Amino acid sequence: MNNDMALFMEYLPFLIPLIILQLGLAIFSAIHVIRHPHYRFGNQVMWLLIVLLIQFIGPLIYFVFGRGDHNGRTN
Amino acid sequence: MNQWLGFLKKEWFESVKTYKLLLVLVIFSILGILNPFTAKISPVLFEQFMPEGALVNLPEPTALDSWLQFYKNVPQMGLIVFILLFSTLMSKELEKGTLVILLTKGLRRSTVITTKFFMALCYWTLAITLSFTITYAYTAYYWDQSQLQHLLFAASCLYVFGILLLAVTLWGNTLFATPYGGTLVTLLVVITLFIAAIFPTSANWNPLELLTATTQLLTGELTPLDLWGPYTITLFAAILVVLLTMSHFKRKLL
Repeated sequence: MNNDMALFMEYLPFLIPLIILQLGLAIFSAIHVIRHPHYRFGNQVMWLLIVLLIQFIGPLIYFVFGRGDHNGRTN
Repeated sequence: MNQWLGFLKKEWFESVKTYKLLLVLVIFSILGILNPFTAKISPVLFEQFMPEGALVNLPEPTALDSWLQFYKNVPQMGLIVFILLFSTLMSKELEKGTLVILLTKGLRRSTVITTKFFMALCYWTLAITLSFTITYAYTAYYWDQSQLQHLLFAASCLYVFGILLLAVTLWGNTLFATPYGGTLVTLLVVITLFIAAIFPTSANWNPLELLTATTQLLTGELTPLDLWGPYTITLFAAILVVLLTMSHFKRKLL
């Protein structure tokens, strides 16, 4: 157990920024999905799942292909 | 010139508003951190998952392992991410028809292509620098990097190959005016390069050689002089593709 803790501490400099970046991006995109309910295709549940479950490719696909326009037009 | 800067400014605001800056910063930081992390953790993982009593002699990870991860992740994941991100460079405005207004007001068509390409180039520079710096910092902290050769030159090979792919994406995007067109053309070009790489003689000119040779560059088996063929050809091909795109866009009906 002690050994595991030491191992964990050793990788902390990697884990902290990684977790912050990945979670931050996922949460930011999820908020964007909820607050802008217009998409070029698909629905809210689909985009939420994509954004939260697929690491960094999910948010990318949402922002590039899925995000609707600001004026609410769906295409 | 004034027109050029104005359109560049518009491109910059557009890329920030469409979250491209954010995505590039976050994704390439993640890629940068992942490289030394994977190099450091894989021997430990192997040990944990090996059956009890099995003896494996795993060498300690070195700086080379970390950089090998960099030259594996960034060309694959990084380039895919980048091409996807910039695959709507032309098609979005062509589809919506917003470019027509500007063009009828006297904006030169070549300006559109050069500013868009320049903007994408700036982003690619930012992305590579970011992930290179992060990997460099972590690797320097954990390992001794003195035995590595031509580190910067290897990174520049990757950079030049990215420029070629960007130019091809822009061309495909202008040609088909759909986001999928650009990605598809890029994919076809990469597949063609891979097929050409089957023949050993193609190593003298194939741009793909820039990606595969990075390992040998780091260990010192190859020197930058061995790569001047693919290097110059890639640069010239990129310029040629951008010029082609310009002449094509001038004749395109909007």
